[in-house]
Amino acid sequence: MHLGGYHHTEWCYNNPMKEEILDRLGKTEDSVRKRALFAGLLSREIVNRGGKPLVIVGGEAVELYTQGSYTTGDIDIKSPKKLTEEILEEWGFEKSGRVWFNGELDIYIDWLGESLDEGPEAEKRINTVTVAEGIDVSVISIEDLIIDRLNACKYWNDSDSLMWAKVLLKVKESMKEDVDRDYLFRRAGEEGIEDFLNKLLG
Amino acid sequence: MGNYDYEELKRAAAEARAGLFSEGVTIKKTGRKKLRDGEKTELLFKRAVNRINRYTPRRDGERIVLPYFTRRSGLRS
Repeated sequence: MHLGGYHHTEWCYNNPMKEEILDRLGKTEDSVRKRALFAGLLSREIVNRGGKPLVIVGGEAVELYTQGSYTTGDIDIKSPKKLTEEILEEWGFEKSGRVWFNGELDIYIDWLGESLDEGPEAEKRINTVTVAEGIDVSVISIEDLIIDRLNACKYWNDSDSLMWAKVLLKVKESMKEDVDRDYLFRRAGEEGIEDFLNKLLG
Repeated sequence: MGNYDYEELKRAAAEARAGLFSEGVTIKKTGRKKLRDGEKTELLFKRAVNRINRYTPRRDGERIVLPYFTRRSGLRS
């Protein structure tokens, strides 16, 4: 059976969840939407099996908040290790180091640990984002993501990151929400990037 | 002049990535070190702001709804 560029193969037979994934992703030509939808389906399955929802971080989080203006190649996640591995294996993913890959879906998952490196306050600030009807994903907060981009700018010399941090500010503004400046300055102080934060907010 | 079909290119790129992965090669993520010229950066910024204006994010209770993803998805919930 052919579905929008995908072929049903043995990995989905007799498994309704795999069938649903292939069906839904097969209808999604746009790779940005496909990655978001896949993350939502994976998160839902983790929760169905008793785990905490995965959290999207890094480039995939920027891709989500900017609704595809920024694009990435893989999905950066924090999630319960055992459950995530169990599900991805069942769904036909192969592992190489910390990266999981499914050739048929052309999806890469970069598993970056179980909890946020930014600590418990960042965990409390996680946002729930609707990526399709009935499908939500947890995403690192915009403030923590701004700090992540400023770190990339300062320490990795990533020349575009300051601009993406500005776009993230615009996302907050568009929702008529103020950015939490106190939190941003506290985190920037911890990371040694006050100069870049001043440049951003200045 | 070469004539390429987009779907064919997409399939070929996916196969190339899969091939590299099976050989143990994962493409390392790196930040962009090469400076863009100011006009190009401005263009990317404008494009991103335009998308925000076109698909304005909103709060729905505890959730953030991003219309780019939820528009005419035609997907089951």
